[in-house]
Amino acid sequence: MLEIRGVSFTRPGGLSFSYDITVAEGEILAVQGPSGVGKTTLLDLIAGFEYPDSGSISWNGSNFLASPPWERPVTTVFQSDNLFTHLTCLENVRIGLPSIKRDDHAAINAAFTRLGIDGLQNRLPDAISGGQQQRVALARALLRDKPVLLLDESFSALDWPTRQGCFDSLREITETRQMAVLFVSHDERDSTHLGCKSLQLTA
Amino acid sequence: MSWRRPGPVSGLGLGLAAGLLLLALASIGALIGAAGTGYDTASHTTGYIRHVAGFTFFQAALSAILALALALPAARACWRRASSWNTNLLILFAFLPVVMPTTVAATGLIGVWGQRGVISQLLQSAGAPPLPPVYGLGAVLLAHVFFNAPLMLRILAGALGGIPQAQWRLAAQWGLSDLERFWKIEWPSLRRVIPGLLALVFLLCFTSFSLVLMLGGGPAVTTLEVSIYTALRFDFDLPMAGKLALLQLMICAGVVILLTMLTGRSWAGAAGRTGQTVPQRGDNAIATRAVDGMILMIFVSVTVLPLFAILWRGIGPQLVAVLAWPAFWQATLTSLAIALLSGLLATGIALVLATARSRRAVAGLAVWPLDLAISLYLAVSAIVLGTGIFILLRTVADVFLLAPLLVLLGNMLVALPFAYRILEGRLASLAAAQDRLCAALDIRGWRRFRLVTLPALAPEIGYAAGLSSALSLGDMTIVALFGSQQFQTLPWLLYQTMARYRAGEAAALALWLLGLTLLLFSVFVLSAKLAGRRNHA
Repeated sequence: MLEIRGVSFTRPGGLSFSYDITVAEGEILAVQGPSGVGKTTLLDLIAGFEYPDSGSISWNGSNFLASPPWERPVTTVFQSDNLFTHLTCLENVRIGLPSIKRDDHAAINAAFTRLGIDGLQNRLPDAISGGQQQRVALARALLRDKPVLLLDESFSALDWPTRQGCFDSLREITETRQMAVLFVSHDERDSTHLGCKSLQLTA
Repeated sequence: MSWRRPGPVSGLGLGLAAGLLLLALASIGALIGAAGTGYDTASHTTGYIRHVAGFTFFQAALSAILALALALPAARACWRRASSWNTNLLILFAFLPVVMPTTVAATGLIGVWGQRGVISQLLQSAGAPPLPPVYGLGAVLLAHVFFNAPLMLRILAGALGGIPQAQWRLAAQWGLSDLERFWKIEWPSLRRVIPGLLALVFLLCFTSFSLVLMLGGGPAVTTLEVSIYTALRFDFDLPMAGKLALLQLMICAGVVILLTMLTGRSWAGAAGRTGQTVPQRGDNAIATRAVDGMILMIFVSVTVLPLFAILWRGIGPQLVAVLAWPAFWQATLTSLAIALLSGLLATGIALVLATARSRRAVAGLAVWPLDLAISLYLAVSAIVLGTGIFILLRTVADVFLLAPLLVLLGNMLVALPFAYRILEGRLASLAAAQDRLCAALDIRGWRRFRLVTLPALAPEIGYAAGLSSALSLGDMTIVALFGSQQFQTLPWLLYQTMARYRAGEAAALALWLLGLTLLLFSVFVLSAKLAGRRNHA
């Protein structure tokens, strides 16, 4: 279980945020709210790109606040720029995997197929659409096999039918792998389609 | 606590920066020491220094203004006609002077504008008298415009290309006249680059050595750089050389500070992105086409014709004769070895310094020691640095015996600021785009450098190495101080051949040197592109 307890954070400009959130295994939480209320900041705190002034963030009781981003039980799909433009889609996926998994071509190809991007393995990111790029990044995030998945408006570039397809895969994987997923979104239809809880942040 | 740690490269970069600062300060210290000995307050000495400094300032300012006067209308005409193949070819040609050795350029200019050059021959065939000899202020200005107008053209065309498409479309919809378009659409973008560009070209012309030495034609047309050389190599007047070098250093430092204030750290930036041209009202009018054609023709005659003159005059029996000189092969091998080594060293050191800067910047640590070490070498011109090293070493070693090492060191240091700026800008943008992603995916340290940074940076590394090698291959400044009959480089051999009025052989040497420079530059650029194209995780 992902537990964010009494976390407070103040931006250099003086803007403060505080969070108390729990996400269970196999659960998706849609984080919603207007711009500037701290949705992305919440993900940055969990991922380790920002450090809170106080509080704790733990996975199954183990506080990982002291760990750098690469040692946290977390994987993130950012809003954009998830791929290295000089690497093919396949290389982009492999570069983010632990060495033991980099040559598991069956698992990698299965992830491409599941997300509807099979056949794009040898293409460069500039040669595919924004939606396809995000699905490559999602494939990599899923293959990393971390228990916490953070999605920062990762599907906003996708058309609605494609987005629905991704959501179906996400829901299925979350349940099978018992991941905790935090999903920042501006679109209320997302949480409705996913049938998940939503957290409305306010200023 | 921050996840952004500078890593060991930061320490390595700081160590290198400290070494560079120490060397520069030691050279400056040696100059101050030399200037202080046997101080001569005679009015003729002060008057001479004042005259030389005044002329250097005057020719540099005039060169910068003339280059802008030619480049600005040419850039606008090129932008207007961006879709035509001949304009694109012109922009491509405009790159050549960036890597062209100054000695080669002087040969080309004499080939076009000299008493027996192309223009003179055309005039004579039409019954007119030939042009006067191409020496003096006019020749120096012409040479500086030849070198700097293309550089300005590329940057100004880049600034025009950076204007958002929507603004061009609005201008077309509103039917703005050419003048209105210039003030309302183009000028806001151009004025951001013009002051920095003028300062940069002023600095390049202020520190110009070979062109003034070859085309100046006498003591009346002499710059601080040439006077330092004369004081050191001919008069062995160390106090005078020290004074002149210090004066040169102070003025250049002032210009570098001005340049940094005007342009930030982007003075070596490549041309901006080029958008698609939107046809504007009056573009196709006969008058506009005629004016554009005339502007481009003048630009071509100043900047492109000398290139053809080098080709035309260089190929012939004299090339075969030159190939038989033992000194020619010796100089070729020496030049190539020094250029390769100094290019690789400059790029390697610049890469360490730029990486250290980028890592320290993201970790919120001070970067000024690195910037200072580099900026100092922009202010300390090749001749000032060489003079400092000459004075520093002359009591402990035979400087002429150490000539190959000193030329290598000098060339590397002169190229360093350019290589650093090329790499530093790209590394900063890569850090901004990839830091979080790399941290999230646990791609760190050497693995990140090898798999992510290096392939993305490969074109810049190739460009930096190619440019550094080309600058070194064409350098005549450092070798003029330390060169001898036993140690010659190609530019030095070319200069000596010209000085003996062997124009045919000089043209053949110029062609050979130009070919080698372009070959070396292309090999670096293309191999880096190929290396960067494919990389496997």
